[in-house]
Amino acid sequence: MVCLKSVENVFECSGEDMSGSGFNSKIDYGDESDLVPMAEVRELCYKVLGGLEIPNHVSQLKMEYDRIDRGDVVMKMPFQESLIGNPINGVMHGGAITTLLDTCCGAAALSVLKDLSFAPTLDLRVDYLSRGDNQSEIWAQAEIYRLTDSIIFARGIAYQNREKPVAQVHANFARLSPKHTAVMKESIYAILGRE
Amino acid sequence: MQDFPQTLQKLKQTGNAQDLVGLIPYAQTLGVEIQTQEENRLLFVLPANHDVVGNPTLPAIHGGALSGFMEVSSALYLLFCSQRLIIPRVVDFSIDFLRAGRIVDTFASCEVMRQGARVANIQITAWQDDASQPIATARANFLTEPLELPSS
Repeated sequence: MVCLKSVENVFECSGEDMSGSGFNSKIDYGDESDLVPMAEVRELCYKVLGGLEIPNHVSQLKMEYDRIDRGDVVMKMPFQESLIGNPINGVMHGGAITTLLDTCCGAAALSVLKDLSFAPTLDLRVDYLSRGDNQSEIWAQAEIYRLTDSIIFARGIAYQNREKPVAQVHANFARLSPKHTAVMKESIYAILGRE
Repeated sequence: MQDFPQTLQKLKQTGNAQDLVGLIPYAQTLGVEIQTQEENRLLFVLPANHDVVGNPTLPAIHGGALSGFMEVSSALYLLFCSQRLIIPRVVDFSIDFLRAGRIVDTFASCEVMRQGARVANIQITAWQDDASQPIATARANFLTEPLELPSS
């Protein structure tokens, strides 16, 4: 995979293949057996946070998960005239790009939890690094670069051309208490039609 | 859109802010409404709609949809309220989520903290039932590029 040279200093890319990741963070997410199974994370993303059965903003914007791995998520969104923000040059609105990045960071955050649940976003900052084009699909990749008992730190990029990111994001998420996690898990299972 | 500067100038002259939404497809997609209040203050509304659901268990509004609503509101505010004819280009956007947003109407107001020759700094506050209990606050920097009317 091509390293993102233009954000080299930010993400400390080595230029080498990092098992499919554009980043180079080696974070200890904890013992794999203590973490939420990836199959459950993917099901949550595909069927509850996206998908066509329940109306939601992810499907309204035609966003798709390309890959969901532990602390590392790739998504894409087709170019859509309905998302144009600048009627003169026809590029998509920053808000649509922010939504893609928020969704991507959010999925990465819930993939490092200990149990099936959500991690509410505390805050998010997007820097629009370059003007997008007015025809290509847009990709996003997010990773978790720091974990504490209370907070999950995520960062990511959006790009149409990997060599020239359109935007960069930093987003922080809160871990829910064990009590709230249990309530969330129950609600998620209810939506998935599971016991 | 070739006649955007003329159309924008006309809307600014007639004071019809709601028609601005029709010029920005993303604002239309979200269903943004603009109400003009006392002293020409603009109130932005994101009507309750299941297309903006992020977490269906609560259900809660998608953080990205809320961010997008606040960002497009601030851009519309600059388009409409700048003394000059400009188009804003966002440089950065930062949001703090204070409370979960429910699937009810969401409101936003904007305040320009500084409008320089090239950059505008703007703060946005969003709330639902109670304006004193904001669900999010945000800030953004925009490059404000001058628009020129055709000389004819």
